[in-house]
Amino acid sequence: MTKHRKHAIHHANHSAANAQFIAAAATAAVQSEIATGTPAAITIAQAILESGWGKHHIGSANNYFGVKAQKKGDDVSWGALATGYVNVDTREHFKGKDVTLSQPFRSYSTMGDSFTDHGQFLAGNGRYRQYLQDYAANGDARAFARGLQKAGYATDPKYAELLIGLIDKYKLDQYDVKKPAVASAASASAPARTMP
Amino acid sequence: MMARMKFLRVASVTALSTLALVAACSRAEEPARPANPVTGAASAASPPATVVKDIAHWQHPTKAVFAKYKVTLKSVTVLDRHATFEVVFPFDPQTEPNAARLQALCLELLNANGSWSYALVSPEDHIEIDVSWNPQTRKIAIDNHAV
Repeated sequence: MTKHRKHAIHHANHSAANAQFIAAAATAAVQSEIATGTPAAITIAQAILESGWGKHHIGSANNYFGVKAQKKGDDVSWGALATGYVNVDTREHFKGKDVTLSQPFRSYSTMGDSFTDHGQFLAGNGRYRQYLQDYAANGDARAFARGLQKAGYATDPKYAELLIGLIDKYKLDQYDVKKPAVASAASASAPARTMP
Repeated sequence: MMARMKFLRVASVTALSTLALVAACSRAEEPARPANPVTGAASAASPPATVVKDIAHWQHPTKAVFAKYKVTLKSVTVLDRHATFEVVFPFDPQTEPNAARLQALCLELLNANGSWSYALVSPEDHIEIDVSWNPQTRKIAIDNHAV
């Protein structure tokens, strides 16, 4: 088999896996948009970035967005949609020595619960309120991506561009429940087609 | 009225003492785990909380860390050797894309605070982040809960 052919097969497998992830994520993201108003296209794009195309969701925790459990002393809570939590230990350097860093993350039964919990986090967070209201009014997922960036969702200055790039490349806005106001208005005001 | 004035005077003296101790603490080359992480005051059983709101004139190694991460420090409260920093984050401290940045901030603050456990409270984000270090198990915990 030639190197070129091997590359083509690898690329095809990769594309098929990505398509499979988008199909699964779309169902969960639509469910989240209906429940929370968070654009489905954004949720899918964020899941791609934050879970590496679904490869990393904290073991079997189905946690696609790294949502932490709440812990105060010995009391741990994980909200209404998660079913529990898992402690994740990582090795870190502190004062030049190896130490263990321990953090509790929520665990979910399904991908759908993880997506809806993420949508609830955005909907209940004052940082994003204005941008969700704008999306509810205009259905513009790309503007919402830029809003997330402004509100501090990510410090990476290219974060909005990354989301929009994924939306454009994989036509993720086809999954948005709320459609852009301009397109809706155009279709509403278009003259009815009549037979000549 | 007299009682109120007396109280204010005592509070003022306490604040001056605190600043002096903090300045002394911050001059130390190595923030080697002082008795009290922020004030440097000798430990005592259940001491009253010390609140620092004049951040501009307060000196402590943690200030440089907050500045590095562009986190605004509003006040510091110390109670029983535990510091609570009220802050305004320029980024959402609860998202996955910011997790590495928050973790780096927490570890640098822990170092600057002489390895004493502390909390970051962000009223804007309705969150308290508790950072603790257990030297016996060599374990650092970063936990959060709603406030």
